Amino acid sequence: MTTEIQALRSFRSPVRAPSVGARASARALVLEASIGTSTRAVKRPSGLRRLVASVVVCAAVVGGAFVVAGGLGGRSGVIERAEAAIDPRGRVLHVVARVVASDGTVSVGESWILPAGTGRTLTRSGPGLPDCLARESGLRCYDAARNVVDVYRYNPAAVEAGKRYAELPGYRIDQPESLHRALHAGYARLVGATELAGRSVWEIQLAVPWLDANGKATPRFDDATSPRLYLDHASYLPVAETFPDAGSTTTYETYEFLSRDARTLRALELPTRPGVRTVVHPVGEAPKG
Amino acid sequence: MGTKSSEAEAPTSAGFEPLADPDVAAMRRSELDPEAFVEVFDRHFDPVHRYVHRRLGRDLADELAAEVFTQAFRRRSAFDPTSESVLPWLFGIAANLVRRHRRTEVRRLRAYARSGVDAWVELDEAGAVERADADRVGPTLAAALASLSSADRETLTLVVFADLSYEEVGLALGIPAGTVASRLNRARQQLSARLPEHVSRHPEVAS
Repeated sequence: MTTEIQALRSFRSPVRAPSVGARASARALVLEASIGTSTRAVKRPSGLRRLVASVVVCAAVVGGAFVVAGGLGGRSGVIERAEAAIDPRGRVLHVVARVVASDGTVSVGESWILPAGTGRTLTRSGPGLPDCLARESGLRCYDAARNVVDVYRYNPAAVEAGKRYAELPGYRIDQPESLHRALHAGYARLVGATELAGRSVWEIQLAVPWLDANGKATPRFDDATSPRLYLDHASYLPVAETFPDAGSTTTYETYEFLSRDARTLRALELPTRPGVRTVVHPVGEAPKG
Repeated sequence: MGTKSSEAEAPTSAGFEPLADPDVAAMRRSELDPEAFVEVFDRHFDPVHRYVHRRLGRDLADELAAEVFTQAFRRRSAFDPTSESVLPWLFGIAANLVRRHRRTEVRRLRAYARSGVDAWVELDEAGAVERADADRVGPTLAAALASLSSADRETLTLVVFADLSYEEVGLALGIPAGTVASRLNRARQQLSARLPEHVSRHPEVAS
C-alpha cells in the first residue's frame, strides 16, 4: 500500500540528470570563482577594458626592471634589490589605478591579481559602474543597486583569438619573465630616463602585438598606438602608463604584492549582499556603458 | 625514485588528525587553496541539481544549482569546520535560493495539478513506468504541495527529495530538530488529507 511519503518520493523522481553542458557551465563558474584563470584582456567592454588592460600590462612590466637595470649598465646589486622588491611569486599583486580618459573622465580601479597562470583580477571601478571579476572566459560584474551579479561570457572564438595574442612576448601577465622576454624579443624598448610629474622614471615603449593573416607575430612600434610605461627610477615599480590610441593615462597610486593569505584571497571575491541574484547574459553580450 | 609527496609527509598525529569527511577537509583546504572547493562541487552538484529540478524544473535548476556552489564558495569561511557533512549546508543554500522562487514553484505546481502535465520537469526515459504510476497521483500531489506553507514544503522536500535526516534539515534551515518534526507532521497531515483513499497515511504521523 502506498503511503503519502512513498507517493511523494516517486513524485518527479526520475528527473533527468543535469546535462553535460549545464554541469560543465556550472563547474566553470565555480572553477573561475575558486582559482581564476589568465586575466589576459580579450574583447573586454570599453569602460572596463582599459583599466583592466592597464593593470595586466603593468604587471608584465615589473620584470622589465631587471633588464632595464642591466641595459643601463646597472650597478652591482641593483638587480638583486629590484628582484627582492618586486618578487611576485606566490603573492597577489595589488594595484590601485587612476585612469583619466580622453574626455577627462576619471575612474579609479583597485585590482588583485594572482600570479602567472592562476591570475584573477577584481576591478573596482568608479561611481556608477559595477565591480567586476575579469577572467579569460568573461566577466562577472556586481551591480549593488540591483543586487545582481551579471555574468558576461566572451565569444569562444574571441577567447581563442585572444589566446594567440596572449602568447606573444610582453603580452602576458606572468610578471618578471614577460617584459624580460618582451625586451629580448623586440616587443618592448627602453626609451630612456626622464621625469614624470616631478619624479625620475624610466620610460618604456611597448610594441603593439600584431598577427598577420598567416598568424605570424610581429611587433609594431607606433607612436600613435604603442603604450608608454613609466617605472620609478629607484624602485622600478610602475608609476604611470599612457595609451596614445585611447588618449588615456593611468596613474598607479598603489602597486604592491600581498601575501597569499585568506584575507587577500577574500579580497578577490565580489562583495555581494544577501539575496543576490545571478543573471547570465548571452555569449558575446557585453556590459552596457 | 623515492620521492615523497608532501601529503605523505603530512603529520597524522601530534594534534593534526586527518579529517574523516573529505568534503569537510576540502572546505577547510579551500580557505587557502580555493581550487580545493571544486572537489565539493564534483561530488555534490548532481544531487543539488536534482533537488532543485524536482522543485522548480530544469531551467531554474541549471541556474540555481550553479549559484548554490558559487555562493557556497563565497561563503565558505562561514562553514562550520566541525560539521560532519557539507551536504546540509549546501542544501540549506539551495533551499534559500529556491525560496526566492516560491511563487514560481506554486504556480507551476498548480498548473500541473490543473492540466495533468508537468511541463517544467524533464523526466528520464528510464523512469517511464514509474512516471506512469506516479502520474496517477502526480497532479494531486502537486496540488497538495502547492497548498503547503513555504516553510512546510521546504522541510518536507528536504527530507523526501534530498534524503536529509531531521537533524540535517535542522542544520540546513537553522531550526531545531523539534521544529523540523512539527513541520513534517503538519505537512504530512495536509498531504494525506488530499490524497486518494488508496494512499494510506504514513505510520509515523498516526496520532
